[in-house]
Amino acid sequence: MNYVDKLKERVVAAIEARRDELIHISDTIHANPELAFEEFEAAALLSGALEKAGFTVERGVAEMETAFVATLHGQDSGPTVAFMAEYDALAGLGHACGHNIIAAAALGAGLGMKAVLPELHGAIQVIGTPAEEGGGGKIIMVEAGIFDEVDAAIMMHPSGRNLIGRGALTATAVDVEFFGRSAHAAATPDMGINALDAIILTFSGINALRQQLRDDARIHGIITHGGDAPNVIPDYTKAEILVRAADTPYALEVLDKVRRCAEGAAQATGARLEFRQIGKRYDARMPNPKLVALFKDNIESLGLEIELAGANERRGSSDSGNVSQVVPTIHPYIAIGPEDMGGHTNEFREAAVSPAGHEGLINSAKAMAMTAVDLLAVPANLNQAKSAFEEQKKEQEK
Amino acid sequence: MSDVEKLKQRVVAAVDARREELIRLADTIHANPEIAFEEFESAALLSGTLEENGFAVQRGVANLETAFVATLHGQEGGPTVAFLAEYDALPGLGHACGHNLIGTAAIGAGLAVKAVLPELTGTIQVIGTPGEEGGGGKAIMVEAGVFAGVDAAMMVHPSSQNVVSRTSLASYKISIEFFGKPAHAAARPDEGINALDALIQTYNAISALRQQLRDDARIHGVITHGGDAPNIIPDYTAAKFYIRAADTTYATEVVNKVQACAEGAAQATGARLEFKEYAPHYDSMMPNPALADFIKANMIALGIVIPPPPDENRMGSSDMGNVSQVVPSVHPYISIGPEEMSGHTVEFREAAASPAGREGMIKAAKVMSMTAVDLLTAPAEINKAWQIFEEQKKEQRGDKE
Repeated sequence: MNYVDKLKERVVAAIEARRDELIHISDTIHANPELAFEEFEAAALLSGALEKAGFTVERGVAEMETAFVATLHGQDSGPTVAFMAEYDALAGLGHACGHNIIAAAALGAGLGMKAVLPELHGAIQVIGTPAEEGGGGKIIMVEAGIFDEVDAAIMMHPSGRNLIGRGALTATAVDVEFFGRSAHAAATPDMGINALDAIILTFSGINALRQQLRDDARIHGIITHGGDAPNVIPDYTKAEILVRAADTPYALEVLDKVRRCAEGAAQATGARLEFRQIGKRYDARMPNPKLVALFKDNIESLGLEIELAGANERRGSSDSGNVSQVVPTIHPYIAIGPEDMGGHTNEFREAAVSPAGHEGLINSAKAMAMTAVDLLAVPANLNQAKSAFEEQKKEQEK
Repeated sequence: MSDVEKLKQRVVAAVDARREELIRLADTIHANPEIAFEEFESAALLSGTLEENGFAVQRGVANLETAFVATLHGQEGGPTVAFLAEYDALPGLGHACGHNLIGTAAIGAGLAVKAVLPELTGTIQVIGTPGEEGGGGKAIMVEAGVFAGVDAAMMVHPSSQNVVSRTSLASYKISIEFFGKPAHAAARPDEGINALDALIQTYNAISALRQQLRDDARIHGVITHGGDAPNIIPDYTAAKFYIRAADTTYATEVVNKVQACAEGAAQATGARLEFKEYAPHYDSMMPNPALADFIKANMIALGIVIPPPPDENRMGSSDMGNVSQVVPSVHPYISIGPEEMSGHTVEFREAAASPAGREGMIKAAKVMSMTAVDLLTAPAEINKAWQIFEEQKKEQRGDKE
């Protein structure tokens, strides 16, 4: 057995030794679901466990109370590999996205690496990223420079199947508001400016636009204010629209086309338009092919089969996309239940504390730590990951 | 001076004698606005006043808690003349349609005619009609047969202009709901059925339909539920529409066309449609010219200036329309503020408790009580009103032929 494999054996054994502790932490977070930016107990539990194990913990990073960075150094001067933890729950649904498992897997990988780190050059970080569900915690942390010194970022996500290499769409949310003029809809309709007409024309413009878009583009929205009373010409209407695409430059192009649909509707109806972005943009996720290959080998060495995502894989958006735009990143999916299990469901929440969930957590922690061993022990691996990252960025800009 | 003129002088004097009491009633209702079908205190106040004055009051008629019929008989036999009271306010806006004045004017007219009724043959009623603002209280009362024994019905609405008589549009209130199938809008859009698309297609089809409609048709609506979250293909959407036209027959035809628009959208998108009336429809107002002639003469006698009638293209709807379809009716307007003042505004609400508003209410009570004297002293005029009513009905039916 070569040197790297021996290191891997030791991190796997270290994680195995902490199996019960990791499962206990995962179940504890699951039993006390906390919403985005309010994950006080989960963040305290995770960062406390890392601190106790000798990590240097910085809390409240990027001006978010529940964000943290836990760092452990090996021998001086070397790259930094980060494991990302998520731990926010869903309103009304609890941990129906299984972030308790993501958190415990990142913690387990960090604790596993501790066993071999004194013999390696570089550092390990466990980065606590709050509010993945709509809050975009990682986006705020990327902007605050938290990932500036990170060389590779690794996280896992529980799922209905083992899948690696799936990207995510960039997504921008916009509010579209129209301001018209109210009038009695029967007696004096000609004196009104119909803000609902403007919203409808905007949607119709978008519907026609789809014919001229790339397959990866997605535009979808709802009308959150469609008028006040049926006998009054509506003077105020509002829609929320999400614009997504496989890469940010194209998404911005589509966003501009959507804006023109709304401007055209304003011009046609005479209503005044307010069109503005809401929150931060979720960037496209670029799975790093070198990290994908390493992780795939590692998880398969544990006896799991993992599928490589196809080009037309179904995908949504995630704030891990923003991380992947600044540092080589992977975000594999590990099965914790049947393939037809949907996210954000009661079934998923139950799976996140089931024996299959626990098994997924332990296997993920092991494969994540083994991948970190590959990166810290063999500098060529990280160099290849970095040059693949640069190529992806260049390709994206085209 | 003729006997009729003397009787009219007495009812006018009776209104003046109760001036302070009527103003207090109007202001009290104004200060405590109650919305459609919840006009408990207003109905109690108005019906209580009539009861104290000898009217036989029946409350909760037509299964409406806040509806009432107050009856006072003169000499036996003869026609029944009804004054209609409204007293509901607007949600959030208070008495911005001035129904406090309508309610009080009807009471004032009833109390005034009481002064002369023992000398006349016939009956007067003050009918309390709740929920005019969207609820269609009169539509329900017509259905329940409350107007079956009435020979002539009248009410006066406050306005920015004095108007003897005008029509109103028939109006249907339609709720449109679409039921689709939710799906993740980025990852699995092809598995969804978009209920918002169905609603938007309906709206667009209605927009296209307007080109082929008569000028009097009006279709207008709002989207009350446009989806739940932008990242989910909406599985449920809802809209409310009013569909109006100059007559009920054509309005029904337009309702059918709008339903076809919604059905087409359901067919195109695969969403399931539920299309229904969510409140009673309002019939078009068929003002009775015989009654209007008396109203006009009495307005002039009181020194009320009547300008040329307003543009017939600027009309809304009222549940008085439903009454006018079963009994000769008239629904004049009395000015209580400047000509540019619109209904359902804060300005209108203030006017409804201003000196001009109170004066308008007193005049309305006088005009109605004088007109009742005209009708109760000349039964032939009631017959004439009914003859014209039957002709109007025939003509209306002819619209369809």
